Amino acid sequence: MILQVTAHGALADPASADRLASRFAAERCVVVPGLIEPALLARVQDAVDAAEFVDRSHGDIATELCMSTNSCLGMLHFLVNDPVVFGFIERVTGARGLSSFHGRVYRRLPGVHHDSWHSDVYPDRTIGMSVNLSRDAYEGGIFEIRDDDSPSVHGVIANVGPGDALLFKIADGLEHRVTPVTGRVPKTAFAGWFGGARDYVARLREDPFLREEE
Amino acid sequence: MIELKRSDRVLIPDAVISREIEGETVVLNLETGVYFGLDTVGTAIWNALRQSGRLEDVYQTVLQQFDVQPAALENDLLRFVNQLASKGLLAGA
Repeated sequence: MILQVTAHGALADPASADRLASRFAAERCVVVPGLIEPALLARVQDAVDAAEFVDRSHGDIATELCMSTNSCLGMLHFLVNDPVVFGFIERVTGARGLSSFHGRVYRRLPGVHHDSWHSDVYPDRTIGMSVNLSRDAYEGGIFEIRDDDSPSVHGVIANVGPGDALLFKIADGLEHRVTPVTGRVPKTAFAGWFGGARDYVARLREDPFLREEE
Repeated sequence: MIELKRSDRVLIPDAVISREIEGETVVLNLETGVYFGLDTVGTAIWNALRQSGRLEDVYQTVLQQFDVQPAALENDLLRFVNQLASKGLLAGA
C-alpha cells in the first residue's frame, strides 16, 4: 500500500511518498498504484457503468464523452478530498496548501476521441490527477509531458492499472497530452486538479446530488 | 423502526462511507446521497462504532475518552445511534 482511498478514509505510507517524489521531480509525473481499494473501485465502476455520458469538446484541445454530474461524481469527490490524500500529494509533488480536488469522469473511445498538447494552467490548479476507472486494460491512451518549447518529453506513462492514479505537474512552460486510445477497449478516468484556494467542505455543500442532514 | 438499546449490536452498511475533514467526520450514504457532519464527540463515537458493533463496547470506549457522566453518555450515545439509524447511516445487526 502506497496511498489507498478506503470507505472510511485514506491510508498512506510516507516512505513510499518519498520514493515517488524523486521520480516526480525528474519526470514531472508519477503513478500511484492502487489508489482506490478494490471493493470500493468495483462500486465506483458499477456506478459509472450505470451513468449517462454526453459528448464534450474542449475547444480544439480534446473531445471525449463526459459523465453527467451525478451522485457517482459526488462519491468520487468525497473519496479523494481527504487530508491524508492532500498530505501525500504534497509530499510527492512539493505542492503546498492543497485543500481540494475537483474533476470529471471522462471516457475516450478508440478511434473517436482525441487530445492535443495543452497545459491545464488555470487559477488554483497546481497538480493534475487521473484515476483509471476502466475495467479492462486499454491500448494507447499514453500520458506524455514536456516543456512547451521542446519536443523531448520528461515522462511517459501508460496508466492502465484499474484504480491507479497518475499525478502530473501543472505549471507555465509545461504541457501534456494523452495519445489516442487504440484497440477495442475505451479508456474511462476520473481526472481533475488539486488546488488550495477553496476547501472541499464548501464544495460538498454545493453538490446538488448530496444532501446534508441536520 | 426498532429503538436501539445499549445491549444491541449495529453495523455500518456497505453503502456508507466516511471522511475526517477539518477535525470533524462527514458520513455519507452513497445510495441516498444523505450526509451527516459529526462533531468531536460524534467522531469519537463513530470511530468506536467502526471498531466494534457492540454498543456496550462503544459506550465503554467513549466513557474512557471524555469526562462525562455515565448516564448522560448513555443517553447521548443512544440518541446519536438512533439518529444515524433513522438516516440509513447505521443498521441494527
